[in-house]
This record gives sequence, C-alpha cells and structure tokens, in this order.
Amino acid sequence: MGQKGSKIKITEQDRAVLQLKQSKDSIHKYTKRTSDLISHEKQELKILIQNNPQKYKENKKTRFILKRIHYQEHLLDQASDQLINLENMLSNIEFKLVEKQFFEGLQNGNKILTKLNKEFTNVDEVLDDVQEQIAYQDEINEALAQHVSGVNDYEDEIDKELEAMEKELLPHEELESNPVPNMPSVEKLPELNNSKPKIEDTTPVKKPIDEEQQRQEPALLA
Amino acid sequence: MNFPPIYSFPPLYTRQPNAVIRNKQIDSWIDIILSISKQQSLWEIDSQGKFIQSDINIFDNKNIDRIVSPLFIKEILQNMIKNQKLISKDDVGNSSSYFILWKNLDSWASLMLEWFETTNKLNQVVTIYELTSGDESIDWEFHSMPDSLVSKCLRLLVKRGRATILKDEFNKDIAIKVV
Amino acid sequence: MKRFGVSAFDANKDTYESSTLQRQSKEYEQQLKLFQDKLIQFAKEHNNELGENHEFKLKFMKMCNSIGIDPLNLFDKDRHLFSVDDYYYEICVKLIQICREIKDINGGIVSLNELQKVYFVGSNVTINDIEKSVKMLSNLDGGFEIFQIRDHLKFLRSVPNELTFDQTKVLEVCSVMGYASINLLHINLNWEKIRCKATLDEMIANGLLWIDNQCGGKEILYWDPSWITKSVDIQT
Repeated sequence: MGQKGSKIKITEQDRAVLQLKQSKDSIHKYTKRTSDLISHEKQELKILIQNNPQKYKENKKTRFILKRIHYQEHLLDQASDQLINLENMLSNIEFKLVEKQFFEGLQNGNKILTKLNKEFTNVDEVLDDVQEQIAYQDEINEALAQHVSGVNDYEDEIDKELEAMEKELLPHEELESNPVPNMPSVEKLPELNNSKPKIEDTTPVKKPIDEEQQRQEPALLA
Repeated sequence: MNFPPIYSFPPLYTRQPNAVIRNKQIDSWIDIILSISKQQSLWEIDSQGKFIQSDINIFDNKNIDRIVSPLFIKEILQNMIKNQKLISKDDVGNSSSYFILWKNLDSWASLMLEWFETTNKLNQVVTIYELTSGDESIDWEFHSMPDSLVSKCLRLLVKRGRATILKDEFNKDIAIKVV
Repeated sequence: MKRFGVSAFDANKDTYESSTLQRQSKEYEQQLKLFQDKLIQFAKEHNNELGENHEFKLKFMKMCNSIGIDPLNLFDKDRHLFSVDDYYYEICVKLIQICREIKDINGGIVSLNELQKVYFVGSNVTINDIEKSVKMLSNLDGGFEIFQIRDHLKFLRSVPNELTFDQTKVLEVCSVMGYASINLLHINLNWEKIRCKATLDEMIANGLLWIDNQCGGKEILYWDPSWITKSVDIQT
C-alpha cells in the first residue's frame, strides 16, 4: 500500500506539517528546559530556607527566586497550552487529509458509477424484449404442461380400463386386495405436484427484473 | 551501574603478554564498555576512551586503584572498530570520537521502524527531534540518540525503500517520512 | 521523565500496560516453575520405570531439557535415581562444557570450589560429586585431572600439559592472597629469584596467571584468574 518504489513523494502538505512539527519541537524543548530550571530553582530555594530558617521571609533573594519560579511556571503553562494547540492542529490536519482521501474516493466512485450507467441507455428496449421472451416462455411452458397432463389423463384412462378388466377377470380377489384401490390415489399426488411448480416457475423469473429496475433508478439519480 | 566480577580483577587493567589471554581480556573490556553504554544511554566515546557527556571514566577504577594505559585503551578501541562496535562520527572516518554501537545499525533501523509502526507514524512527516527526544519515544532504547547517528540508521530505511529524508537549508537531515 | 502536551495523558496508560505485562510474565514464570517441580517429582517417584525403559527415559529427558530443567535436578543420588552413573555422566558433560568456556581466561586450571560455587550454582552437586565425575573422565584420556595444593584445596586441570612441582607451589601461594610475586615466592619458598621468575614467566605463557603492574609502583603481581569470581563467592 502506497509503496511507490524507492522514492516516496513529499507533498506540499508534508512540508506544511514539517513546519508545524518544528515549531512544536522547539516549544517542547522550551518546556523541558523550563521545567528543569524550575526544579533547579526550587532546590535553591530549599537550601536558602534551610540555611536561614528564622529570617528567610525577609531575605530579598528568597522572595525574588519564588517570584521567578511563579513567573516561569506561568510561562510553562502557556507553553503547554500552545503545545496542545499545535498538537490539536496536527491531528486536525491529519484527519483532514484522511477526509480528503475519503472525498476523492467518493468522487472517483461516482465517476465510475455514472460511466457505467451510461452503458444502460437502451435498457427499456432490452427490458421489453426480456418481458416478451418471458411471456413466450410461459406460453411454451403452459403448452407443454397441457400436453403432459393430457398424456397423464390418457395413462389414467388406461389404468382404469385395466383395473376394470382386472375386476372382471379376478372378482374373487377383490376382498383380499383391499389396499389396492388406494394405490392409484397415492400415485396421483406426485403428478399433481409436478405440474404445479411449472406455473410457479414464471414468477421467480420475473422478480429479478423488478429488482434490477429498482437498483438502476437510484443509480441514475446519483 | 552493573559491572561484571572481572571489572574488580586488578590485572584486567594491565595489558596481558599472553596473546590468548589478551584476546579474552580485550573481549571482556568490550563487553564492559557496551554494557555500561547501554545501561547509561551513552552514545559517544572519544579516542582516549572517555565517554562524551558523561563523567564516567570506565578505564579508571578507583575502588581497586587501577587504570588502563592510554596505549592499551587505543588497542581496545581499535578492536571495537574492527568488530564494528564503534563507528567514526563523520563519514570520512578520521574523527577523534566514535559512536558506540551496542546494537548494530541495522538493528537500530529495524527498531525505529517498529516505533513508526506501533505509534502509528507511518505516512507522515516525523522530525528527528520527535523520534529521539519526543515524549512518544521515552521508553524506546534509541531515545536520546545523537542526530547524526540517527541519520545513519534512517539512511538504511531509505535504502530498504521505506523512507525519504527531508533536509533543511543547510543540508542537514531534519525529518523523515516512512511508509 | 516528564511529558508535555497531549502525550502527558499517555504516561499513566504506559504504566498500566507494563504492570499488566509484568504480572502476566510473573504468573507464567510461576506456572512453569510449578510444572518443572512436578516433573522432577514425577521423575523421582517413577524412577524405576524410567530406568527400565530406555526409550521412555530418553524422551522424558528430552522433554525436560526443552522446558529448561537441568538434567542434574532430575537425579537424587542418595536414592540412586535412574542409575547412579547417569548422574555423574551429566556432571561430566557439564564439566567439559564449563572448562572449554573458561579455558582462555584461566589457562585450564580451576578450583573445585569455584566450579561448585559459581558454575554448579543452584544444583545440589557437591565437590565430591565433581571429583567422582572427573575420575570417570580420566578414562577418556582427555587430560582432566585433579590436583591438590596446601593439602586441602583441590584444583581441576583440563589441559594436557601437567603442572610442574614449582607451578603447583606458585598456585599455593596464589590461593592465599590471589596473587604471587617474585619477592613473595623468594621469601616464602626460599627460592632463587631466577627460579621464581622462570616459573612465573612460564605460567604466564601457559595462560595460568595474569600480570598486574600497577601495585603502587612496586614489583609486578601475578594473579590467579580464579580470583575473578571471588567477589561472586562473597555475594552468595
């Protein structure tokens, strides 16, 4: 990701960030130095107080050092605030750069999408054609289903005839073979099921076309 | 500071005449120098064997009243240069002080790369000050490393194709961008 | 170190992280220690089975080795665990390793005391065990030999060149102060100075002694390198 050979490009933004970071560094250096100075002076103050426990309050030097510590602390606070400001700014810049990338990505995506949509100019024609083809397909299915069911009827008739013949020829076995009449009804059930799905088949074919149409509409709007 | 037991052995401070023993002696010295530099974050040593920016004089052991002669110090340092534990501070190689490498440059470069990765500093400009003196590297071993030693390590990252160095108007390295 | 700016808030986070890590590694360490102890206990309980089944023993020792148990800890010589010889073989292997490592510093002469206190620290190997092992090693003709000075200090020599009578005497002197010198030998042993110097020089050449020429501008001192670990002795 982002590895363009051995040369890594330095952009204008990079230069700007560098400048910010340099000023951040110098403030950081300053805060370090100041805090060292403060701790050093505090140490000095302690020694002064220890050396002169009675009258250290009158000692001008003590007061002076303490004032200076306060002043330095004030500066340190300011510097810290500035440092935080700079750091905030840097993270803002970083975030903006990410946002920029996001925006660019969005733009590119949109461009490609419009280009792709242009390829759908004759979509109505195609759809009409598709619907026609589907209707034709339905007709064929129906025709075939009828034909098949006709054959089935014929088979049923033959069955019935054969059964009648059987009754005539073997009337005495009727009592024993009671379960036999049930058989045809069991046979018929799957046949009915077979013809049913063929009618249903037409609906799922239509559905995806509807979806496609719906999907294209927002795309065109975009 | 943590010294090995041999640091209190008086003959360690006298150059041993037996070559096998002397090699062992010099190795011991190198170990001591590297371990102290690492413990104290000492980066530079001059050709007299004095650490720069530190009062520690490793070759003078006051406890047992022994010092290493300047000539022998030179020999030890020469050995360190040969083993690439010391490198000359400038690129020409004739400076009077050296950087101490208790890690070799390549390991330092890798460690820095690890820092860039773990602190999420990839793909942005980072100043050398930020890298070695900023608050975010305080717990890293290269914190407080001198700038020109950092430059040497960073150049290895450039070589690996992972970085570009930014220079200021005096052609001094000031920042780096790692991807 | 103080931190400024936003990262000042990170300071606490870091300490939490590191303390958690520390605690975890401590726990792991304890668990490992416990496991090791159990294994050692197991070895002692099932010593007979281990001893009879050679393959089992081999695999068991391999496993112990891979999780950092010193094979020496698996043996308890008083109860003749495994076979008692195995225990001494292990010491032999260790002895050879140690002597090779420190040969360049001490010229191949090391006191049994130092061996036991510094290099076998933490295991319950005694000086007697070391002596027994060295006897076994002598079958190998590897030049390992124990010699005695001042009647009670025992040294192990791991290099083939045998010490002369004079050299042994010098080591005796060294065992008192850590060093010897021409005068010291001259006074204590009543040797000719030439003889002192020749002996000392030869021992330097063999790497048995280190010289020290900074003794307050006086004569050169010849140190016994076994003195290096004397400070360790004091600490333990």
